[in-house]
Amino acid sequence: MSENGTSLRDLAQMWELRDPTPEDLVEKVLVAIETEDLDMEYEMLHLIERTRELAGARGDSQALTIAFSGGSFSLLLRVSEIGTEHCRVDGWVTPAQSMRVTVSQHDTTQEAEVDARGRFEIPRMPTGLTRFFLRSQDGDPNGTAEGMFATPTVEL
Amino acid sequence: MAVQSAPDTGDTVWEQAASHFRRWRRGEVGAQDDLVRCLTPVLWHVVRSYGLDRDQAEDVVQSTWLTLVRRHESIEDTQAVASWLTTTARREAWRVSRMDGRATPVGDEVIEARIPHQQAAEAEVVRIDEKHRLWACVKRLDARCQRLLRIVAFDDRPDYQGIARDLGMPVGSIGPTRGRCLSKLKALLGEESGADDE
Repeated sequence: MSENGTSLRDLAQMWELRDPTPEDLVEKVLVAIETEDLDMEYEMLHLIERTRELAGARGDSQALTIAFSGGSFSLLLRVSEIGTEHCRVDGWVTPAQSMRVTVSQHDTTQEAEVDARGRFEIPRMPTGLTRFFLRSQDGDPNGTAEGMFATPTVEL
Repeated sequence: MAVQSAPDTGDTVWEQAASHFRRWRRGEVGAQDDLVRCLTPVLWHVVRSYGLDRDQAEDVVQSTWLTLVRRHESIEDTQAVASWLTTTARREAWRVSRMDGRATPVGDEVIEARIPHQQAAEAEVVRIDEKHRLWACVKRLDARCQRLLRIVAFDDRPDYQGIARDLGMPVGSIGPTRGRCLSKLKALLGEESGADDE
């Protein structure tokens, strides 16, 4: 360490070593920007919890549960592995309402309907960096924040 | 990911960011990515200093960038893009930390687990060891000093007014507090090396 050992540069290097910027954060930001629809004002949901558990009949695959929330709205995702490159997503929204969900990845999108009980499923999609966009079916179609929610980029 | 350090041109991260931002405004391909790569580590450390967990911090960094994409036309002084981003990130981090009520200073247990254990070259071992000793001293500082030093270590042009409000201090005392925190750290480092000599 240098004589005084307390230059701000030393401190910056120390923090980057101790609590490094996540490897994939830049990529997540780039996907978030790429998939953002600038004509719409989605309310940003926040990631509340992300947990992994063993699943499958023999406990040999993993299921990932991710919870998001924004104001009084919340979204729960359960992601089950299908091999190493695909997954199945089951989602629940609260309060339950009919919605359209768009799943955006680097260069693909998929759509699904959320039923009146607040449930939706994506039977098969590639794993990787993903964002979910939800629009209320009864909401204003002209794109106000009412009933429009978007998640940050997450790794599935 | 390595911290962006000034390259041979001697430009600071702040100046590099301003130049990427101007290229982006001119519509140059790749300029937006360059700006994101240049400042994301800075935003990460600023946000983490507010005690958000890693998932929350990633959220705040992402939404800060999305806010820039939506509002960049309102930034009149392109030179100020880095300040605009760090201020936006700090505000959001502060809001989330208050809302959540479970923000805590980054704990040792989290941090120890992230130190790479692979075999490293001798120079690397020495370098890591120095940072361990520095960390051992930094964590003996109070939470306010730790946050302030982390912000100023990454933020070339810290917004003292905003930081003062977040830390609940008068703006005039930020400069002196920063100086006191650094002196305290130096004293602790002195004690450490003194202990090693015995």
